[in-house]
Amino acid sequence: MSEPSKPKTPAVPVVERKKKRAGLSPIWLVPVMAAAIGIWIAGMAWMEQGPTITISFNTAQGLEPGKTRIKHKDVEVGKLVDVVLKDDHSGVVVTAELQPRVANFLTTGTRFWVVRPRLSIKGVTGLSTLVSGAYIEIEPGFGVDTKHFAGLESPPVVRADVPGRKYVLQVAELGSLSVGSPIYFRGIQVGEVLGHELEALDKEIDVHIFVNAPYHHLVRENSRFWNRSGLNITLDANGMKVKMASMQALLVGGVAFETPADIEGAGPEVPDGTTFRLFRDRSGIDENLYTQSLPYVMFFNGSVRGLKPGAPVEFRGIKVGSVTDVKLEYDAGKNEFFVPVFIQIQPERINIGGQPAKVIENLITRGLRAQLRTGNLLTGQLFVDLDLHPDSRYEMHPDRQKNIKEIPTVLTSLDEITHSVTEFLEKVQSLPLDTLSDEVLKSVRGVNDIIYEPALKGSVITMKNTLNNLEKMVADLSSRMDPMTEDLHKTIQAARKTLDQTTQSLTSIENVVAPDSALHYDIQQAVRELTATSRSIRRLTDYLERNPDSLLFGKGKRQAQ
Amino acid sequence: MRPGYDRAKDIGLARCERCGLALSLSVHEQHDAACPRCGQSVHFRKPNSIARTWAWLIAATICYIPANLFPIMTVEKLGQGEPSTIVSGVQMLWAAGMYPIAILVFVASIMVPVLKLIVLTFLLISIQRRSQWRPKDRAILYRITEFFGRWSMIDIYMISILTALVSFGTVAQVTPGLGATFFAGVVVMTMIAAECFDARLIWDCLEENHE
Repeated sequence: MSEPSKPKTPAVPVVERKKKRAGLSPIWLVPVMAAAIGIWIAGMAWMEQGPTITISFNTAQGLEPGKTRIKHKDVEVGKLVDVVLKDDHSGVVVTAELQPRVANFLTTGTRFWVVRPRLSIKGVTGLSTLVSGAYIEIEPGFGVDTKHFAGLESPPVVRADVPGRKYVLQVAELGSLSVGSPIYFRGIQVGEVLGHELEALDKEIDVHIFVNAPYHHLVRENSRFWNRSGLNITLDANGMKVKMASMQALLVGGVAFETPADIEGAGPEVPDGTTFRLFRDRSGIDENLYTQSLPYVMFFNGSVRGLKPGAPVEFRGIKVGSVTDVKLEYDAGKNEFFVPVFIQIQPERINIGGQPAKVIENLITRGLRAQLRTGNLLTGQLFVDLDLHPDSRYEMHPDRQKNIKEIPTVLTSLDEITHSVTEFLEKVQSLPLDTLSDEVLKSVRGVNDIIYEPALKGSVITMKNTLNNLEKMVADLSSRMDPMTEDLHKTIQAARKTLDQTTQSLTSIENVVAPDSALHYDIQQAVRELTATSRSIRRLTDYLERNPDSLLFGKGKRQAQ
Repeated sequence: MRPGYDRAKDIGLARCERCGLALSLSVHEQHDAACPRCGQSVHFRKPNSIARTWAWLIAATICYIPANLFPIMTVEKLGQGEPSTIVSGVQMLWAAGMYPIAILVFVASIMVPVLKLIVLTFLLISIQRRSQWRPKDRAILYRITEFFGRWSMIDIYMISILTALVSFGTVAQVTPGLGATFFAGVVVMTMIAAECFDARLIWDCLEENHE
């Protein structure tokens, strides 16, 4: 550089000296702070790193790795990071990262399901996922810690955090029950059907239900559940019954239960998972309360049209059992058809002292017979009537049913009538009607001949003449009777006069002899005199008897001596 | 020994960096001198340049890691969307067929910061090792670095603008992520580092080696 510029450059006039500090410059705080922040952030990120879990589903519909969220009560608690097919291609396994605060959720009781838009009878759910996409809902449960879960294919009907209890109902046929079907107690909806499963072919269907708190207190040991499916029309020997529940029940079915609180009170409460029977309907409960049932078979000769399984078996009008089956069998050996009717008698319905089977056996020997009767004239439903017919003959068919005891049968009342009528007609038919009518005809002809005989005519005329003569004679007789009558009249008058006189005489006699008449008095006086006279005579005679000498010496003398 | 050039420092001249006043400064007074005209402290060279550059550079490098690991922004369309990091953003753009934008984002957001870090590190090491290797090219390299460095901020601008513009609730929403903060930190710190770097040092070691 050249010199001339130098004068223009001023010397530094002020020099503020600062002690230069040895050691590290404070600028190094910058990377230290950056590192500190970095470490802090990294630590935070590491802390936020939650557990990684796998969930298996049938399908990955709507699930996208990195996008699909895992939510609990609509709060995001994690997200999907990976979706892979299972090794056997039977489903998918999704890997998800959860936030650390839900790490304690991960137990065997925890449930996962995909929330998608769903349309059901009970309503539309998951509509929000139409725009936001499906998400996985996590529902915490209790159990042992785990990281591998099997996802539910459909949302659980009842959330785990809803207070209440689960029960199991056993039923042979599900009917219209489905997931979400309501449970009613006296018409109040108290719970829902969770689902059902059929474990084996020969087992009953397990229907899982949930009863919300506080209604689970109503479920007791003696509670009875029955199917309350919408419309119930029954047509049986008792007539037609139509029952209808609510519209919802009509569509999705329903279960109702009751807890009979009788004298002993309702039973104790039952724990979660208790199994109950689900009866077909309300009346089915009473049917099935009887645990004991004795099978019997009967063979009817007539038609059994109108007899269905379930028809009542009555003894003198009281139900004692029901028909279980009606069959038609063919005996090839005898070449005949027969209809075995299987019934079950529930001895608990009757107060039977002793062994029911024995009692029935006894009754059969005493004349217990089964008879088909019409229960409902309109529908023609039949029922089995048991009664004692001691005089009836019966036949047993031990060759037909070997292992079931038989109750002998008598003819149906209608059969009986038919039978009698037929018999009568047969007798009528066997009468020798032709010969009979010939005979009748013949006698009628004979009578005719007699009637039209000329001799008969002659005798009739003679009879007529005789009658005329008789008439004349009577007239003659009457004309002679008149003078005779006059005489009789006079005689009667005379007789009357005599009678009058007699009456007068009698009256005067009566007057003479009346108590107040003079004669009567005189007589009385006379009688008194007579009495006194006789008394004097007696005295005299007495004296004479004691003193016979007085006749000689006189009365006074003797006394003076 | 001087190979034909005089340095201002050699003839005791220093230039006030704020007002441009040329000052004659004794070599011993090279620190803590103040400009008589504007009061700015005057130095022959930027004080403590290498240490400060190193400090900022290291801080930037540290910040670069979370900047790439954390998502820089989340674009949500109708409730769907996931946070994307710089790399995944580039991948997305590329997959979507927007190649020019993908390249632009790749260059501005990945290449430039990385190159800046590498170049500054290289320059610092070369100065500390008193390397005499192609000083002119190294100076050009520094100038390019300094010039392009600020373009890395294009990402941050984009994110800030999008965040402000695209805010329609559930329909569409852009939210910046933690990565953006770190990325902004990286860009700013590399710019400061480049600012702290005194390119004259490249030549100084050339001179001093000759001495």
